[in-house]
Amino acid sequence: MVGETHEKLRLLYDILPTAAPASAAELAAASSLEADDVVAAVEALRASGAMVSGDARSGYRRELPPPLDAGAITARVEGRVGSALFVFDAVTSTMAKARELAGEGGGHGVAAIAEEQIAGRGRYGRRWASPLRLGLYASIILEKKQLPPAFALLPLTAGVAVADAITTVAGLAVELKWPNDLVWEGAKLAGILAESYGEPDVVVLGVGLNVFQCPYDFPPRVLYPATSLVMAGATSTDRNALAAAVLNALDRWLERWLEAGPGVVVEAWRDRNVTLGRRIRIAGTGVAGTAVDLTDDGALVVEDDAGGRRVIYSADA
Amino acid sequence: MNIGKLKKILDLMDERGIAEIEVRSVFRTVRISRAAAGANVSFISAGPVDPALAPAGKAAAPLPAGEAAAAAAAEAEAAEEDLIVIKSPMVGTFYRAPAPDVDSFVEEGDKVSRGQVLCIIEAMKIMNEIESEHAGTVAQIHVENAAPVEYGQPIFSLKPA
Repeated sequence: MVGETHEKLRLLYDILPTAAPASAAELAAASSLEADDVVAAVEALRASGAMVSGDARSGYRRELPPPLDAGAITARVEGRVGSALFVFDAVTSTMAKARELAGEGGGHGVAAIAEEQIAGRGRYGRRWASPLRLGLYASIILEKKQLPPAFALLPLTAGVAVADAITTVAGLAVELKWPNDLVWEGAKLAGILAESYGEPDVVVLGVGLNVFQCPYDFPPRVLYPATSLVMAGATSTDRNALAAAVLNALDRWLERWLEAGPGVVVEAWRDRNVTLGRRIRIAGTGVAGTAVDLTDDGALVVEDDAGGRRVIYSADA
Repeated sequence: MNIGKLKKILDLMDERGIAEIEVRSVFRTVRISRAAAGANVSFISAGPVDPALAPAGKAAAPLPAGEAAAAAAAEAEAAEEDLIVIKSPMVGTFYRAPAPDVDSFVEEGDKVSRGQVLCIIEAMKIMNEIESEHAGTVAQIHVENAAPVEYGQPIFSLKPA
């Protein structure tokens, strides 16, 4: 019954226009729902966080959040990260765009931000749902020579920075799941991806943050439960402020890491993490155990059931 | 911003149908908006960012070292056959393709050029593209897709060109 309701809501959400409104009767005809059901379903969609304007008589439409304003982001940028930034309407992926910019001479801190990604990607080619204006999709060029010599800690550093940015702007105490997913009450709110290339010799750091999504904006079968700032009850959803806060926090945490060493980052990560102390399974190895510690280069120490300790550098924990 | 760079941005905007773009450099901000009739460039002053804030970094070093015994064995073998052994520069997970449903970067028997991407090794969620330092033919791929690799573990053997 519940599953059926979700399917109906998803169907209705998918056919809601973003331009001229459609009446309840029109939506009913297009969705095989009754007109009365459409009115109730719109209320249910609104309750879930969907931005639907209008009423049964004037018709309904899906509202899009305001567009990003490059000037408003730039005005807030304090450091080198984001000191040059490009805001694109639509890109294949911000990762590819940032790499392209790096190839054309874009240096340390240059950021590529997009309103929409046609093929947004996560780790190992997984899709990252990136609908128009609903999230913050950004990739930042980091020159390796500007990073500490062993930069394995970069994704964790970025996780701490993005968590701080969200807490500052949206008032949510988000948590970190090893290595660098940002979670809110067990659901994924943001993800981080880092790609290292040889030519140009840079790392591109990608951040995908769900801001305005309602449950029906995520693909029906996502790998992990997903959430957004709206769904989590954020105090602000200003994407310009969020973008600037992410860039500034990243700048600050990179500085701290360079100046004070990895211990500061590892400590900050520990303070915000939900992984240590939990039982985890290491995908592909059959190893199960308890996550007990984090090394200074960000690897996870897992104690298996026989009492043996392993250091995990790469896995879905 | 020099004229060449500006032209590149304008071309990019044309190509993608982008109406407005803002570029902030260390010393100033440039906003470029493209009207239907043509391009219109405006300069906005912005507070300079102190470039001295950036600490000088050191050269990137490989991730923690592991055992090299296996590497030595493979190297000895390779020397006999006149092959170049490419070793994993880090501990991580070896991927032959950028995603599960796409072609591998290289297959055995493929000719590769210097700088060509051979594989990705993931460590700590950093996807590291590993490039060939030599031109040649892929003689052997030593590791299965998605398998863990150690520092110094042989991953490819190349027959030099």
